[in-house]
Amino acid sequence: MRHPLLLLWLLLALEGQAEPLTGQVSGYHLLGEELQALQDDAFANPGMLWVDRGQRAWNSPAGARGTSCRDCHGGPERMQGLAAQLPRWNAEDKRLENLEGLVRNCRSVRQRADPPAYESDELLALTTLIAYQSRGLPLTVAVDGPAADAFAAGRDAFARRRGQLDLSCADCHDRHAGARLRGETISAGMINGFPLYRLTWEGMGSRQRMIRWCNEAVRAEPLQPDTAKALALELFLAWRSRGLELESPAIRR
Amino acid sequence: MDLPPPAASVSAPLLTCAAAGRPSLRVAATLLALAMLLTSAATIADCAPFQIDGDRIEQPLAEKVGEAAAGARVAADRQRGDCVICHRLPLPEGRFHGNLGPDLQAVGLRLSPAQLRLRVAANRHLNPESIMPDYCRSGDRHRVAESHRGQPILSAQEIEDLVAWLSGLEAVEKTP
Repeated sequence: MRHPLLLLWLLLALEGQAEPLTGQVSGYHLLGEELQALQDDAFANPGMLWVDRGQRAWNSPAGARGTSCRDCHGGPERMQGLAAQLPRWNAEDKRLENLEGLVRNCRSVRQRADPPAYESDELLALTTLIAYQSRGLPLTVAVDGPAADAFAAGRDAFARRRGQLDLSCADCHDRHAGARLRGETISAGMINGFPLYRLTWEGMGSRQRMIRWCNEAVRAEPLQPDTAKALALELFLAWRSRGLELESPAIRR
Repeated sequence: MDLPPPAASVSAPLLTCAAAGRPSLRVAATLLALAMLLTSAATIADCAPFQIDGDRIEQPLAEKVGEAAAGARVAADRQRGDCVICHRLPLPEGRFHGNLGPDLQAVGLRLSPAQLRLRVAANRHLNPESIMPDYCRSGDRHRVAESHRGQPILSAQEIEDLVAWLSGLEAVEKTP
C-alpha cells in the first residue's frame, strides 16, 4: 500500500471513530462533496425548481380580491431577512408564527384565497422563494419578551423523551450527534436549510415535516404543524441553529 | 388456595415466602399479589412481569425457551428489534450497522443470559441516561403513537429469542 496513513484513516472511518459532532454544525458538512456541490449549484439543485415555481406564484393574482403577492409587497427580494428571523411572536394573534403560517395567513386574510395545504407544492414554492431571499444570512430569532414562555416550552419538548422508543430529540441530536444510525450520521439537528430537498423524501419539506418525520421514527404522536407545541419546538431549534447561515433550498439525505 | 397464575410469579414467591406457615396471611398475600397484577396489567403493560436482581433478570420472561435463529431475525427486522441500527452484529443486515451502542459481535463472552435479559428488557434500570430504550416496558411513555400505545417494543418471547441468540455470539468477524 502506497499510503499507509490513508489506509489507517479509512479503517478508522469504517470503525466509526470519526470525531463526534459538537456544537452547531450545519447538516451541509455531513453531505459529502458531491451533494455539497449539488446544493451549491443553482442550476443543478433540485430545490431551485420550487424557487422558480414560487416566482410564478408570487406574481399570480389569487383569491376573491384578485391580488398577487407582488401587488402588495413588490418583488420577492423585499422579503430578504424575514425567514432568518422565524418563527417570531405575533403580538396581534398572541402566538408564534413561522414561515408557513405567515404565507397561509396572508393568503387567507389579505388575498381572501384558500390557504395552501401544509407541505403542498404551492406552499413550498412560496416559502422556498421567500427563504431563498435570506440565503447566506445568519439565523437570529428573538426568544425573550413575549416569546420567552414558548421558548421554554420548546426547550422542554426537545429534552422530553417520547414515543414507544422513548427517545428525546436531545438523545440523538445533542448527545449522539455525529454517531451513526445504521449507515447514516446523526445530524446536530440544525434547521438552517429549510425548506430543503431531502433525498429520503425525493422532494421538498418544511422544518415541521422534518419534526414530523422524527416523531414517526420514535413512534410518537405527530405534532400538528400549526399548534403552539410544534411552533415552540421550532423556535427552540431555530435558536439552537442561531448564527448559522440560512441555506435554503439545502440538500439533505 | 392455589398460587396465582404464572404471570404473577414475580411478586407471589416473595409474599408467600414471608407469610409461610400462616394460612390467613398466605391468603391475604396471594390476594394482594393478584390485585397488584390486575392493577399493573391495567396501567403498565410490560411484556411480562420480571424481577431484577442486581444487573440481572434470572427468570426467563416467556414460557417457551428462547430460540437463537428466531432471535437473529428479531435483531435484523427493522420493525421489531432493529438492533443493527445501533450495534454491530454478525448479520448480513449488519453491513451498515450503527455505532451508538457497543459492538455485540462477541457479547456472549462478556454477559450471561440473565445479564443480557435485563439489558434488553429494561436497560435504563442500569443507566437512566442511556439511549437504549427498555424493550419490555411500555409504561410512563409520553405521546406514544396511537398504533403502538400501551405496547412494549418487543414481546416476552422475542426478548427470550434475542437473549438466546446474543448469548451464543462469541466470535469477532475479521471482515472490514
